[in-house]
Amino acid sequence: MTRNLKGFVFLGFFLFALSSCSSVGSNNVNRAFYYWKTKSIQDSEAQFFRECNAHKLYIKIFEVTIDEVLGVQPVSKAHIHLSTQMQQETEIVPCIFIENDVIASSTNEQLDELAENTVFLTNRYIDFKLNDNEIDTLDCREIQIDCDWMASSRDQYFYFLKALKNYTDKEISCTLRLYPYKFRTEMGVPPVNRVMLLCYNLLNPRAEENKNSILDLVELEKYIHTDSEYPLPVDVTLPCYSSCYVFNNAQFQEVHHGVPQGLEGICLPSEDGLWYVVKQDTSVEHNYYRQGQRLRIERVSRSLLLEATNLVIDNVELQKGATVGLYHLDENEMKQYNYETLDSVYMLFDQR
Amino acid sequence: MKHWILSICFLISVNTVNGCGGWYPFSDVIRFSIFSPLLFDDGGMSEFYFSSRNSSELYEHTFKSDRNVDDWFNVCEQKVKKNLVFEAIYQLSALGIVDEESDHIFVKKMMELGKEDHLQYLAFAKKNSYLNNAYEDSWERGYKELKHKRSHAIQDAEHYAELTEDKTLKRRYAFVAIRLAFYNGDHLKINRLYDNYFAGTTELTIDYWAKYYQLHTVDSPVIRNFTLAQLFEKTPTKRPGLYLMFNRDVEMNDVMKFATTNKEKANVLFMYSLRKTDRQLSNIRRIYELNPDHVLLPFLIVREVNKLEHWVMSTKYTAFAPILRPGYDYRSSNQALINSAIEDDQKYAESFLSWLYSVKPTLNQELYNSVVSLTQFISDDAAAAYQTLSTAKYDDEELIAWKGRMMGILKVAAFKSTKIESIDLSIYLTGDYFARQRFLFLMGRLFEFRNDLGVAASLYSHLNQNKSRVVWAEPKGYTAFNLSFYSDYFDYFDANYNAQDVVGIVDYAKSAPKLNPELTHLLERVTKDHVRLLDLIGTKYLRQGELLKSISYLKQVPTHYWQSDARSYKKYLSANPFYADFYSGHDERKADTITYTKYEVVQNLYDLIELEKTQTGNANAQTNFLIANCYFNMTTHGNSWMMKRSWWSNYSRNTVYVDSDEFNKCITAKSYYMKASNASEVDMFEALCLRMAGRCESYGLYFDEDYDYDFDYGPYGGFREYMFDKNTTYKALKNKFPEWHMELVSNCHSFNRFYSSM
Repeated sequence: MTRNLKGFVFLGFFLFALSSCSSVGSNNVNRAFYYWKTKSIQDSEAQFFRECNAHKLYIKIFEVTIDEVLGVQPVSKAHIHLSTQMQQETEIVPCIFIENDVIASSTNEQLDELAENTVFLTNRYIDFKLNDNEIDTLDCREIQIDCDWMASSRDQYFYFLKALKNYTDKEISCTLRLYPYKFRTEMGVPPVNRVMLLCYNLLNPRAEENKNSILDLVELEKYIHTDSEYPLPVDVTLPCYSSCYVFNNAQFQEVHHGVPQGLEGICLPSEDGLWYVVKQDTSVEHNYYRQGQRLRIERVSRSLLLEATNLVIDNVELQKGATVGLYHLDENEMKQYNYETLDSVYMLFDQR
Repeated sequence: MKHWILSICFLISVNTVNGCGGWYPFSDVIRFSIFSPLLFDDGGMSEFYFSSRNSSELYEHTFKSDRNVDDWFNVCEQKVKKNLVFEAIYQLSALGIVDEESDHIFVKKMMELGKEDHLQYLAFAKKNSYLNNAYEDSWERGYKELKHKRSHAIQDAEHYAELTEDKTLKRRYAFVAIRLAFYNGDHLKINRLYDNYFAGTTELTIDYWAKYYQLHTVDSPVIRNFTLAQLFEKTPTKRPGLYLMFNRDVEMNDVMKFATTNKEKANVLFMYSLRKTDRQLSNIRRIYELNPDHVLLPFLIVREVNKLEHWVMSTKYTAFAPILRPGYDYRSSNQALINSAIEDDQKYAESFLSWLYSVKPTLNQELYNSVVSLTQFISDDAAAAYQTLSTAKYDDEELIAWKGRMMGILKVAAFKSTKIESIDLSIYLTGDYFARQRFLFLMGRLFEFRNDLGVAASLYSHLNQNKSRVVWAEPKGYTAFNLSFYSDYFDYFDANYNAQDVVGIVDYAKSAPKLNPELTHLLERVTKDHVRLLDLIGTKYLRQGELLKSISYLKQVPTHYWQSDARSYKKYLSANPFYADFYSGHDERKADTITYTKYEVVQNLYDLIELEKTQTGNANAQTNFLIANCYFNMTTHGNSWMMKRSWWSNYSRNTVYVDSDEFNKCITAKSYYMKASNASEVDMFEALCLRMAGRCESYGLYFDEDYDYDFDYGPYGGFREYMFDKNTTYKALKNKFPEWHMELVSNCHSFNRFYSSM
């Protein structure tokens, strides 16, 4: 029996076993997705979201960067209009990505101003900009901040998070990378209501060029294995996305977020499942791949996703009502996964 | 989310080198091109030029590509230069444009023509232009106020549009209202205004601009794509915005259904070809069939040539992998694929040429001759290219300059007998560096490929003397300093050619200007580098193990050179190269009371080697020990590493230097320590020599084997222990002198006791 077939049989058995279990339990998690694009959700994405029985959607509404001339600015503003149905059925969590440089280079006074501006613009989205229909009102209970903060910017970041509470009575959550989760004493615990632990994106794609930088179980376990419970309620997010690093003239050229369907098919068989060589000039989804070009294709397979799920369940203490998110809701990425696989991720958490 | 950030970190990190430098060439820096699209474009398509990146340079708003300037040029009855029209309509203030005392030629002329109403319109548009700035209130704190102000301005604009009798001014005011309504998100207003004032008008640029804003209210992506395809050619300033609106996921056939004329079809096809990075000849051919006069067809043709340049010439001349030249071993299993890709590209170039030949009579002849000659050159037919270009006539100064440089290149490429003396070098060595840098490099490369290294080196020596950089690579994938690119002739010849080749360069630099004084400028830098090159030759012979030859060149280097602040010898060649102990490294030691110049080191080393041949027993052992010390110190681990390298770092381990192994693994040092050990008649000294030889072997073992973290948990108790166990010399030491073994390998003070045993 080939390795692939074995994996298929294992997966089938696994899914069958899961489906025979009850889907209702006191331990049920909030099923969530992240939506990180700036344009409106496609019908197929909304449908997939519903099929997964998800009821919580984290939407990035804008990013905050620092411009030499204009100063701290919101950029990449989302142009997303949520349908009435989506608003009624879903808890929306607006997310704001803030570059660490913004935080690191700001004084407390500037952070106060940033907090006020952030809440103001977020409320604009909640009250107006996310609504497809003017009469709709979006009921948001939580705002999430995503920032790649470091030990050196910790004090400012925590100051900013506290400052947010001066301008809104909504719950504040923030994303948490694995490093500050593991080294919580050194890095500190953010002053928020809850944290979203991001269980992916573990490695520098350059430093470990023969490992999957999105998800590597050995690396993941190193970080999530801790001696004590995290002092805040923890939600977790697992990856269901792919990346393709394109190399040209032996140098890195660009990264394609979301590997085009069937890209591996135009390449020579890969020995390690990561590095591929294009066998003939081909355009795939508007990208032109040249014969002889090297590509590093990183995907999170179904089995890898389920193994990571079990690893997280075994190591991370989730409270009742915790949220489990999947990153991210994208019609191309969803083609790699069937409903059953993603449903299984949630069910494994429900049955933990 | 975080992974975007990490990706950005990755993007940044992959474009930097390990260690010093902090810059790594990528994207358009390594894309070879000698044909600027600007030669056949007014800048209106700059954002769409072929690039290794996703998009080319940003659009620069100038009078040359702004059709609105043409309209105002006509309003002032073509009596004011276009650049001044541009200045007036975009740069004068709202007050300045209606200032009766203004010195501005445009304002004066308009008043002279009695067109104050047009100036009043410009003042109105300028006064409200701040309301068009989407970034003015990025946090949207003042959105209510801004919206309110816009609404007022719209009312005013509508009022003036009603009031004025002038038909074009009516539309101009209405256009201001449409644009403000766009920023207010008022689609109903946009459509009402458009229908009232513009529907169907195509007289002025603002007619197209109004359509551009109205197009944002159209929901159907198919209609949007069709309409913007028709607008694209007419509105250079809106092209970036139109492209953003273009939905490439919409099937072209669906859009094509709306096209009723061949021109419209050609526009649709153009839009779908615009930013394609693959081969587009079939679409170019089709566009030509549908509309041979398509204004932007030259843009597509130039873009296709730029692709061919990249596919064929980047690999062939800058040699960034994948490259065509034999011997390239990067993932050799793909070499066949890479070779066949380049052959395919050349075949494609031939197809492209055939098409160009077939449309010759209808194309702009300046464009035709340029692209045909360049494509012939790319197709390895330099003689035909030379022939084509020699008959070409140009009026434009930049094209004339381009032809001049190309002719020199083609002459060298086409005729093997062409000497550098027959080329007008001034056009490669002087003038705008950005325009000539790649020609200069290419000329150098052509001579290098002929093995005319003196000429090649002297041409390369003129590269990169300002901010711009021409970089090139070599097949082995890493260079002198473990970077995979070069930007300086000295480093390139140091790494890729042997001592005898550099001797040839120095000899050429000495003799050529005497025979032909016109070459003096060409050889300026190589001549200036004469002493440095002598040092290099001596160093290269030393690396090659040819000491006498090394001495003969180093001897010619004046003493002050070794002491010069411009060099680093004073700092890094200041220790005694004949001294080493168990732990000596780069630092000076107490024993370093004697220092030598590079020449003196090699001379002394040679003398010791000669002496050693005449000795036996302990004397021979001692001399061999000194020789070994010297060879050890001339490695990356020793105090005189600068004998063989001008630069060093932990990251520059694998290099293309001929003595890369020797420099890292202390091979010669080990052999002399062993020789000393064998000759010694004193056991303690023999043991000491084995200990030193073991140190050398250890460096070799570590160089060959990457540190493995798993060994920390392995049966050896750790990686260090594992490596120690692999060291055959340490084993020999243990076997022969078990009583001293531990002391020698673990006690750093034991060296003196053993050394003094002799």
